[in-house]
Amino acid sequence: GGSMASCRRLSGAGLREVLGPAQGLLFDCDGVLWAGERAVPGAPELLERLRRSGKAALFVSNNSRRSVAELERRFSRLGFRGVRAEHVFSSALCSALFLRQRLLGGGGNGSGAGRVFVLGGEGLRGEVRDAGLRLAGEGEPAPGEPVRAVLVGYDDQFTFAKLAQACSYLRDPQCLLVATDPDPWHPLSDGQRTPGTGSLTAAVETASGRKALVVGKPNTYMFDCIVERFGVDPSRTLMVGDRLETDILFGKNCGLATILTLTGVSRLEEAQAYMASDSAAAKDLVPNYYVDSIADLIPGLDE
Amino acid sequence: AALPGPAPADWAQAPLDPAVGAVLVGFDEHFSYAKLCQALRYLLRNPGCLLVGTNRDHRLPLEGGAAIPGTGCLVKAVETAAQREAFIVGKPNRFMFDCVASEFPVDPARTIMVGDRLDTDILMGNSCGLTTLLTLTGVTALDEVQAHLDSDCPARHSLVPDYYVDSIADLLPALGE
Repeated sequence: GGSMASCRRLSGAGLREVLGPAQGLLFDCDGVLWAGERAVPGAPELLERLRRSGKAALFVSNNSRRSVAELERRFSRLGFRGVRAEHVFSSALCSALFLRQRLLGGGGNGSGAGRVFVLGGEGLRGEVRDAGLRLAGEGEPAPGEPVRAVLVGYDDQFTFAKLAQACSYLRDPQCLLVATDPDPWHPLSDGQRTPGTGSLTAAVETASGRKALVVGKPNTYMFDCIVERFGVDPSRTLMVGDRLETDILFGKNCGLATILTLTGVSRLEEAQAYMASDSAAAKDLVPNYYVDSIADLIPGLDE
Repeated sequence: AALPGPAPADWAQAPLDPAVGAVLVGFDEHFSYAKLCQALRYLLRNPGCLLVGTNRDHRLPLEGGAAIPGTGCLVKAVETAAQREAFIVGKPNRFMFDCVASEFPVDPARTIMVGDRLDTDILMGNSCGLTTLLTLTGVTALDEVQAHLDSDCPARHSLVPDYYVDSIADLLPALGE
């Protein structure tokens, strides 16, 4: 729709009006379902109630550290029941799918497709391997197997040497530069911040003179992956997230109504400031609705 | 000081030096995520903490056309994580010219800036009211200058030198015996 989002608190009758017609909800994970090792109180119950109401719950996360198999175990460990790996769309998985599409043409074997130089941890590297791609620096390089993509993810072992190596691969204009997500920083449980993929991507872009293709939110590729696997109708799906610049903008870009939850990164005042701004770009960061926590959605569902 | 533990969660617990009032980003071939973490912690702890970069060069050219990442990449990483802009000391900012002028009697109208890079050397020279001279023994080719000269954009005109030589050796004949 073309009308501007107005950041209304979702409660009471409004809750039922919004949740009633929804076929499913897309949830960001960090700051929405959990914070660090602690589930947001009431979040596991919300997912259970969604399941009982026959509404789908899918998960879309910019966090490129973990494989979806690890995420499935994490859901279970934190008390969420019935979430399977196939329901979870991480930027690590979607970056691997994106590279598979671009390097392998969506199918076929890996020969001649070229390798991927990954700046990231084992979770990300595993997703790229599982997509049928070969990593630079692993195994004997076959003739005709140049590095065809540099993938920048969350890399807490990032070094100048790796930056220089990435740049040497990127001198080949055929070599893609892909980033898992644009996040500049992530919150730690004590209120401090740790640098995100966005800061590492900025270094690689500056050195190589190239712009990265960014897979994660607010770009829409991860929604394409969701639609391809589950056939979701955007007009009957709600996006729930805690970060205005990624989750809420992602929802807007994909044609989803958006709910901001206040248990994570963004403050209500920031949403209100975007609403008051004259800039058209700022308006896209305003959520349709907000709640203090996703537990507040429970009364909107049938018993 | 060495950081405890292997992971960011550990690094975020390392004690911070209470006396730190500035983060200075220069060329660092040992740059790492851990250092980037620490820089971010200092900048967030105290909003008055300065963020300074020595320069924004993207690349340092090596022989044979290869290049290594320049300081500008590391500055950009810190700026992105901290969501703040650094104060850049190096060219094209005029700070270094001001340093020179404060120590030596420099009259811009009678001073020539000689350099090989348009977006640092020539831009600084033009901004400071110096006569600018481009030498072609470095990173810049003449057709780049022509493109800036032909452009409609006034900012690009600031990158055009007053003069050029193939090499600074070409200046010798002008200097008396």
